[in-house]
Amino acid sequence: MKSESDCPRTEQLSALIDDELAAEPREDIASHAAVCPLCGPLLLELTEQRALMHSLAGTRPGVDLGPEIERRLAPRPRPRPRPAEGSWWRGWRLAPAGLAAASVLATGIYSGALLTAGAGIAVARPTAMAAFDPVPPGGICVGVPSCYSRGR
Amino acid sequence: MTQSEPTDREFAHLSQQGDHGAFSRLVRRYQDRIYRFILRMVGSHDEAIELTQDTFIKAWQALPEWRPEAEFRTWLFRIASNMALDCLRRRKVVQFVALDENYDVSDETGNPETLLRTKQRLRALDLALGRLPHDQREVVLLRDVEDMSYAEISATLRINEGTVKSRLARAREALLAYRKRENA
Repeated sequence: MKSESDCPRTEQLSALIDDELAAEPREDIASHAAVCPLCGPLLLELTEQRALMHSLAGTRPGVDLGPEIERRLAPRPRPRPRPAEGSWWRGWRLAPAGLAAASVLATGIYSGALLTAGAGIAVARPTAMAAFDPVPPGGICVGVPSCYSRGR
Repeated sequence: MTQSEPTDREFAHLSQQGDHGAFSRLVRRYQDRIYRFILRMVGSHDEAIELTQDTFIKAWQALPEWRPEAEFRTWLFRIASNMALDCLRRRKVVQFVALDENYDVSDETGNPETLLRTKQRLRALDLALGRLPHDQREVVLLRDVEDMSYAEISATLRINEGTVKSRLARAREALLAYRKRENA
């Protein structure tokens, strides 16, 4: 005669009604429960209780919670679409800005050079060319008549 | 030709991008299930309504972190479980939760006598459920009411399947014992 210690634990019977046992133990436990005066009734009780529990699935809140939940949802910013990485167009789009930056830089360097080096630059002119100057040699200015000899 | 209903994953993906309509569809799909789970965890209709709403708001806020590898249903129930547990902790009543007395436990139809008997049995079951420790109660609810597999319960509650199996067996044994005591 079998003793209670030969019986599977409730854990195994519980897993049996959930169909969560592997094929071999499932068959062993089911065939044991079919003849065991302890496990047979327990298996039946567990099965009935499970069916009763399942009937609780009919419970409903009695109100549609959707509108209230929707009212409480904060807007989520949509991610802005980005162009594909490495696109040839992406490089060309930067050309006008690059040209503008280069011209500003060149102008800056040129102006800077004039300011810093302008005082030290002396333009050497040949003396023979002085005859063609608008201011005659020894003269002070161009426009004042007293500066000129008027052919006298 | 009929078009098949979009899956949870499709709706969740649209919701991630800010689509309120898609999220509303998920709300309508799951509000009853989340409500009845929370109701039996906290035992109060009003609190269950409030916590169900909070669960969906929390889900909306957390959706940007949701990954398609995670099943939406288990992810949502995890949020609901945490909400319910937080509520019980705030109340400092984790062990015993009885349903509101005036709460109608069943919408079954039938002759008055059968209906009354069914209501009595369900009320006794609810009372017994309320006496279970919360960790056993949530496992048995997810298995027997929500029809989740052991693997799904394991993913929802982040416990291993062996723990699901043993916790469920203890819960069922305890429920049987409570009900027998009530009937005696």
